[in-house]
Amino acid sequence: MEVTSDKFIPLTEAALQDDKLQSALKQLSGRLAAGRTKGVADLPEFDQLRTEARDIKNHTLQHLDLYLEAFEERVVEQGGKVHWAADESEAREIIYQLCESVEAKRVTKSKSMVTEEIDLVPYLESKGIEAVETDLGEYIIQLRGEKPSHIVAPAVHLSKEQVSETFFVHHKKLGFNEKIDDRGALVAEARQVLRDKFLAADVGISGANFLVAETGTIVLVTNEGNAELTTALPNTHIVVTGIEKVVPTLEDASTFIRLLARSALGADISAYTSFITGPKHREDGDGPENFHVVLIDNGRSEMLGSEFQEMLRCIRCSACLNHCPVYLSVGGHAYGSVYNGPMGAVLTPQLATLEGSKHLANASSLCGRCESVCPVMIPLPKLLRLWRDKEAEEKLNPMGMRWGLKAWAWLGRQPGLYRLTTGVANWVLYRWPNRRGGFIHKLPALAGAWTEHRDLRQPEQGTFSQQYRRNGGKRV
Amino acid sequence: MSRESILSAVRSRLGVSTTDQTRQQTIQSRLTAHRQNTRPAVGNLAGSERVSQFIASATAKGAEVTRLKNLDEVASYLLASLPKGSHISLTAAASQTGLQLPETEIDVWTKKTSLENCLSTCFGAIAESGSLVVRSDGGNSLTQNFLADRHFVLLPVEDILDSMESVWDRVRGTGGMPRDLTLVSGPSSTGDIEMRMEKGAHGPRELHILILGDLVLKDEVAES
Repeated sequence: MEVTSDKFIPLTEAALQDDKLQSALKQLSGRLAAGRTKGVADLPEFDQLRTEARDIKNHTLQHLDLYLEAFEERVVEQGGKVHWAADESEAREIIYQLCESVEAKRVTKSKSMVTEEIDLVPYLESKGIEAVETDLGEYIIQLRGEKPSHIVAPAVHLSKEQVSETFFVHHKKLGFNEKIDDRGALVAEARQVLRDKFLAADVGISGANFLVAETGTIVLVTNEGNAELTTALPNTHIVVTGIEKVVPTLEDASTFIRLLARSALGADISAYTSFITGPKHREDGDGPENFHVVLIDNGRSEMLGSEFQEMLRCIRCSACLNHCPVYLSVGGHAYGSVYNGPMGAVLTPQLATLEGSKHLANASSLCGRCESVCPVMIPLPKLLRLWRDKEAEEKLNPMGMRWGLKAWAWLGRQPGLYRLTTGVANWVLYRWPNRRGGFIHKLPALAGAWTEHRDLRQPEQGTFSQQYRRNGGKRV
Repeated sequence: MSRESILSAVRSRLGVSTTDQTRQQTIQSRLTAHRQNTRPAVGNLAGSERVSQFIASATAKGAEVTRLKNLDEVASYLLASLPKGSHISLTAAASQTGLQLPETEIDVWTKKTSLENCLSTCFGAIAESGSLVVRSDGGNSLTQNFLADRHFVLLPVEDILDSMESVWDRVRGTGGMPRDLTLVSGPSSTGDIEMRMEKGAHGPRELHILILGDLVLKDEVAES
């Protein structure tokens, strides 16, 4: 997984100055978070479903080896094949070999975060295979050479003018000579271009929202119908997914379907929810002859039995992104990882390295909105704190910060000295000359780092202890 | 291949062994019991309430829902909905219903797939979410379900089930899962440009659901 999270700080600064991005993020929070609030209000049983979903995932993870074996057995019975990949390079190689085995020249792909995680499309293209993203948002960013900025709405950072420009540049060679700025017309143009890709593809690659152990079924959820065309038209269908996606039964999958679209955008269900079981059956009108499932570990098994196990419940709904004040201020690209927002800040250090992504866990006020909207009740703030602990344990935070905190902790254990120090600080700050309306605008030395970006409230006269004594221990 | 190493990593992280029979029994009983989780009240309706819920929910998702008494009314509906001289492909299942379309007014294809208009049948529908249940078998096909601009679907009123759970019961009672079973909930749409919904991303731009059967539903029919 390509991660540039070490550039988080300069990228956030750029993001905050980017007016187009800021207006796109405003749209996002207005539409998705508001949609979710309404969708949840419409379903009185929502919280009960969340509790059950959490329990189903916990049970499944506790028996993950057996459910994966059961799933594999069902897939094989249907005439499909299951491949296991320990890491991303093995996964890419397996998928490439499967494409090679059917002499594939053209591949269509529906939206899948796991294929982003393993950088699949660039790899296939480097091997001379044309691989086209068919989700509209993914297609747009593929043309632009960008990464998704949101796990459900990958092109949310772009305006329709930017999409129009992109289509104009890339579709000219296909005979589209006019620049259009109507959203409906842009969608229609993409439909026309991609329809030809669907019909010509040798292999269709999809992810999976869920795997059903009972039947060997993979579940795919889209609004566009691109997953259906990707998986139905080519003669070979390859599913690429993580080992944590399995659930026991169709009934269990149903509970997650009730939660997924509601958590993402407030809808009770997406336009298309496909349950795909094996290759074309004898009674089927059409469908692929070859069906492969590539199950990817890539750091997931390591999370089992660890303090991060709960993160494996994640169903990639994006509710935590849509409600995160940090994500909504800086957007997805600043995180420098295909997984962003609170879930990405927890997952990225696990899938890449903590050293390269240590800023992510710190970029949170731990306000708790993410946990409160998570459909599988992942305690995201707790997990972010755990990464901060690890950062300190491994001494990855700056030396000044470590010594500063140590000094502060020492001071806190010397009550007399603490009172004296805070008393002096209070005396000085109360009389600080450079202030207006109860706020101090500029401080020297170390404290200047605070006033460089924000004002400091002028303290009251006397520390809490001094005031307490002054009032004889009584309320004012 | 990494199958064994992944499975053994999972087992060692969980602190379990392959010889533990109780774990195996736990998952076997879980997989065969088909225990239902909480089914929302809206997924538990019967009779005319169920039909109304289906119509309201499918309509809210942008589907055109019409109740028709018989196949003659279906023919009139199709003729009224399609421009003169257009063509429509009927899936094998749709052509076996006995529907008669005047071929002087409309081009009917039963052997090839039309990218404009298609009439198919379905496995049933779900009232809770206003979804049609379409399958790759039973005389219909995936390409016919998903490629046409306008998709017309015949839905006998008694096939409107209350919830996904009832669909699974019916699937298990009729030979199991096909290659593809899709819950279609409204026409194809995308919100990928500036978060505004646009219809007709890749699948049908229009979804017409033609509910066939008595307008006044008998409760015993709905209980099925």
